[in-house]
Amino acid sequence: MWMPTGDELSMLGPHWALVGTIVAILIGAIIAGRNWRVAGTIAMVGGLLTAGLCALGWKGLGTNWAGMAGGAGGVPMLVADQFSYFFIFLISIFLVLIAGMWFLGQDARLPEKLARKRDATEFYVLLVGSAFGMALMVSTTNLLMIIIAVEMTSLPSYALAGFRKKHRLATEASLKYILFGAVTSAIMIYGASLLYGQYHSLDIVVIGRAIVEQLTIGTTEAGGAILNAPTVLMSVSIVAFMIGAMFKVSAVPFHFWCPDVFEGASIEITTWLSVASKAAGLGLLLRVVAVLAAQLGDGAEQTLNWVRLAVAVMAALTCTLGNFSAYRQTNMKRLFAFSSIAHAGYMLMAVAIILPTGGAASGAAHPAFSAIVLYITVYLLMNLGVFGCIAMVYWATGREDIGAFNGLIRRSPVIAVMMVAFLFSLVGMPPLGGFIAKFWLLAALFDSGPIGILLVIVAVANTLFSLYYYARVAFAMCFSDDGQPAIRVPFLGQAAATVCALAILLIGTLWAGNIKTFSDERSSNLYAVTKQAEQPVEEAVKTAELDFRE
Amino acid sequence: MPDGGSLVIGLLLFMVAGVAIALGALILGRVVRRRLPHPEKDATYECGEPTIGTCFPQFDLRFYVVALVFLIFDIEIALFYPWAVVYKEGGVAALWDMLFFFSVIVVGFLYLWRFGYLNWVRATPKD
Amino acid sequence: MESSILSWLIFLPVIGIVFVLAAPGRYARSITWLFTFAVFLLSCTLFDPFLRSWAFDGPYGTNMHFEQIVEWINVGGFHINWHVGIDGISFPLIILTTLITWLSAWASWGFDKWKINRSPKGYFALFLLLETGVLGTFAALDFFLFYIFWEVMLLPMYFLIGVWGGPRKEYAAIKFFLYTLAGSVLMLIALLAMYFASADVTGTGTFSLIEYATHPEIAKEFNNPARLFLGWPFAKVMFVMLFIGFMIKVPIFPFHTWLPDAHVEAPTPISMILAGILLKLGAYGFLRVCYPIFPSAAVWAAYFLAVLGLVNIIYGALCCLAQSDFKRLVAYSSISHMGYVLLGIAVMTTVGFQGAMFQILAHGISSPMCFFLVGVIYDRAHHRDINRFGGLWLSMPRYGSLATLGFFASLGLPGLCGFIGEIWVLLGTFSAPWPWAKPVAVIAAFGVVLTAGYILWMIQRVYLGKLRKEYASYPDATARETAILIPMAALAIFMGILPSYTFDLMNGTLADVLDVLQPAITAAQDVVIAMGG
Repeated sequence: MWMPTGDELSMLGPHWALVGTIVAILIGAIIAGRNWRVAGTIAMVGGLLTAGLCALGWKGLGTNWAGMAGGAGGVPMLVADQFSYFFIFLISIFLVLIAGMWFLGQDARLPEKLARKRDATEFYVLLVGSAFGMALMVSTTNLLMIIIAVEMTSLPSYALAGFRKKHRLATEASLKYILFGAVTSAIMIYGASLLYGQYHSLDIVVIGRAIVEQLTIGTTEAGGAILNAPTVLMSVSIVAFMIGAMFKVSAVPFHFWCPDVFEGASIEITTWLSVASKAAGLGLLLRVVAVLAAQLGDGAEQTLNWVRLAVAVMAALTCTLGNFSAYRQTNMKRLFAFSSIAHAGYMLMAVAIILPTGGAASGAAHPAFSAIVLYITVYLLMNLGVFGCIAMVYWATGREDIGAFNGLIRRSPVIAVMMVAFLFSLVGMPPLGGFIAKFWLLAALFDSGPIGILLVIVAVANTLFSLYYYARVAFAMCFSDDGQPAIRVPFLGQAAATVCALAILLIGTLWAGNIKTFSDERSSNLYAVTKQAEQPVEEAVKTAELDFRE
Repeated sequence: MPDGGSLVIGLLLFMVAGVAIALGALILGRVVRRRLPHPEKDATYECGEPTIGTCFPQFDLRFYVVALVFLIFDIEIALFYPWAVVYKEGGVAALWDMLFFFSVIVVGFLYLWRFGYLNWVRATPKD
Repeated sequence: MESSILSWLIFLPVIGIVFVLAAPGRYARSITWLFTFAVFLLSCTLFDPFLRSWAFDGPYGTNMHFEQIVEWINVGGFHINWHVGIDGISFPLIILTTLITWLSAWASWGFDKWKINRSPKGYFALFLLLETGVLGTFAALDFFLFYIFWEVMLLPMYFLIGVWGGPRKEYAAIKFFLYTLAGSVLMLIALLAMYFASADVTGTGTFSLIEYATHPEIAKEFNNPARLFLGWPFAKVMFVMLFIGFMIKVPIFPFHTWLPDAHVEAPTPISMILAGILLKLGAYGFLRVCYPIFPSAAVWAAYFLAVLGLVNIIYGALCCLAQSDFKRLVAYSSISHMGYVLLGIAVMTTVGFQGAMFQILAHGISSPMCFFLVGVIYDRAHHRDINRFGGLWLSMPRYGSLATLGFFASLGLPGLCGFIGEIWVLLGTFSAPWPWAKPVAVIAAFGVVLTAGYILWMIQRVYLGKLRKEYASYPDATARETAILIPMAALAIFMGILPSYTFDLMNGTLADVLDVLQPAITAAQDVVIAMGG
């Protein structure tokens, strides 16, 4: 019987920390009763601890990776590498910030104020729970583990979306979210079962190898494999499987939940979903595609062409539709829901170009991975900033429509100026971080061939489309003053917004190189791209079956 | 492995056959059977018991909570049994394993207890 | 020559922003005035090498002055530098920028009397940021840096028009923003394409605008007709994308429609900057980016560009004739005048280039002057309807004289700056070796007549004739207004009478650029001759 070793357990430090946080919040509640301060503090400390463990982890790992529960063909259930640690780091830092946001909003005079205080324990448990699901999502290549992770992320999110009890929109949001999530999960599990049925393995690494074996019809003189055309069933099952992640990323046509949920959920949850859910979904997608591509080697381009085209078209549609749908929105949360869909589209583009893994085996940073790591980092800051500003206006006025922002430059100059910085960073205007993020993404796309260049054209065209609705918000804040009274915003909130904006400005100017180096490091030597075939498929499958019987 | 074309045809046949069988059974029944409507025949079948009220009653939410609490124990049992079967092989590590798992479950249980979800009669919080 | 003076020049306004934001709002205008003046003085120290005989020795790109290269981003094969430097193309424009910005900061002195006079801090901070953007664009020799500064200009301009503009400011501001951003995204695609194309040749890739033009292998590969971009010839696609990006800024027909709106709605000092400097950025882009880097495409497109220039000249002038809004008239006259710039560049002759560059500067002097003149009268009358004015010269003699001078400079009266630019462009076009050049020159010359027509007609309606009694009591130009107008008037006369001093600052570099273009031009003419042309 398999037992985890100490190393394997310690490699999962961040996961342990997240689980521990959940338990600690519950114990805290048992001891101290319903105390929002205790619950929030534990969540924040837990998040910081997780982030710290991740940072230690990626220092300690260097260019290695670690796996837990080596099963079939030496393929682990959970993987720790720079990439997974980075995403867990990002998610847990974001968790801390969301908790901070909930703290700040605690004093606002809102109708749901009492309920917020009373239900804080549950809120934090659910929040950390979904964070834990995301942490699993980015650190596995096992089909079952992926499905569990997606569900682990989704179930708390459904509850969080409807957390404003007795609020009609929130209830609607939650229900829509569940229905949509259930359908996409079903499709995903269907895809997984098709894959398992064809290749008799649950692990994508082994599946990739099995695909190579299935398709190989000869060898080139250099020793590379000549592959047959891919089967439709294979492509269908891979795409069906990826739909679960597409749902998390809110890619068109799986985006319908996004605006409604964003509008109905309380603003902290909206912020949480807008970044964390997408980050985790992207991490998962990238890993799945990269693992398959790495196993297929030179044949990846041919074999996965269909998959790549599907992702490319989805990405192009996602950002175009997201941008155009944002035009007519008057509710700020809805508007930025569509904006987040559009940004998910930009990031998905990088998934589409991941296949020609030039030099992947050498362990060099893959430009697409690096671009996504960079983009999601900057995107986190921008979105946190934007939603933070919306939240502060909401707390002060109780309104979320764009009209509440009229004349904000007079009513609360700091918030308005910072909001302008976030908005134009989202457009991708230099010298703000949004431009640097977009630039590296476009550079990665551009370097990858004709499909990438077409995607670049779609992306820059979308930059142009997006300007109008972002500028409309700036316009409301700066140009159309209808004489609403000045608003009071918490000092800490202003400080946080300023720090975010400064960070974005610095990323756009002085740190433009450093952040690229950082994301290169985080995406170098991925487990998946280095994990080339070690064991023939037959044996791997046999080992797995033996394991299972034992 | 079938190629694309035959796969698509196969899937289509599968779907058509599935729909046809279901529809066929319904239509056949409609054609063959005799029509003798009776209120008792239209009533919902409940193992021979006469039904009371509509089939859309509002359940007391407390049942729902109880069902959730039951799940905790349910999962516990489901995992305890196989654990007990292989316990000798696992040794002390298996004990710690299960104790950890159990303690997490217990925390959840204590939480329910602490906040009165186990009480059948309890005050509902006001918003 | 390594020097950090350009960096100081670029960031001095940013330091000014800090002071503006830190000090109470009532001091904002004084601080801005001081800083723009300091920038102007600092920029005057740049004159030194350009007055010496050796200033333009060596081929294009080798005689950059005050050059500074600091590594900025060096990651994953990307080398992006803080690379600034000036030569005969950018230097006169930098002087023009600092001068006009200083004068328009002075023109903003009456800020507290504007209809919308809220938040002086915001206004002057954005004003200074705008100067940083413009100076950075002119000085940047790294394409990435150029692009960044190009975009940095957009935001302040958007807010300056949008917050402090006229009644239709929202529309004008977003239109300006959308048009310019459309141009910049095209530029972004070209930026990436050129970087990766250069990486194909040298292995490491570069963003240096100079290397693109002078590195023999890169230049060859860029203009290699066999190199394709999505199935089209690389050079042509890049040239067209960059050209559209720049022509939106100039603006060239049919992308000019943002300009009248932006000008009419912008406050006077912003109109001055917009017309005097921002339009020049597009033309500068032609000379710095499009032409030296893609000579083959430049030759290929010469005819279309000349025709576009022609359309600009004639169409702009005809539009002027139809205007009754004073400011709109001056705005359309800018379109007409910038047509000469494009025409002069498109024909690719020495005289044509010189004329285009001179016209850039001449228009940079005369159009801010005209806008300020309009602003002066608008401050008093609060309307700009030409037909409601009359006889203003009688009530405001000093203003009237300066106004006539300014508008005559714009008209192209011999002895004033506009004349030299236009005549040089026409001569350059006429003498150009292209078969289509002479007819184009003749039609373009007709534009001069139209220009004279609309300007004289306007002067007649506004300044001459019987003095209407509602304007009889208007005070003459104040000391401040006169002080702002005098430098521009003096420069207009100086450049008109002694153009050689201005030409000396830039001719060397223009000749260098032409040297870069020469092989392509010769090749094209050989084809024409071979075809029996």
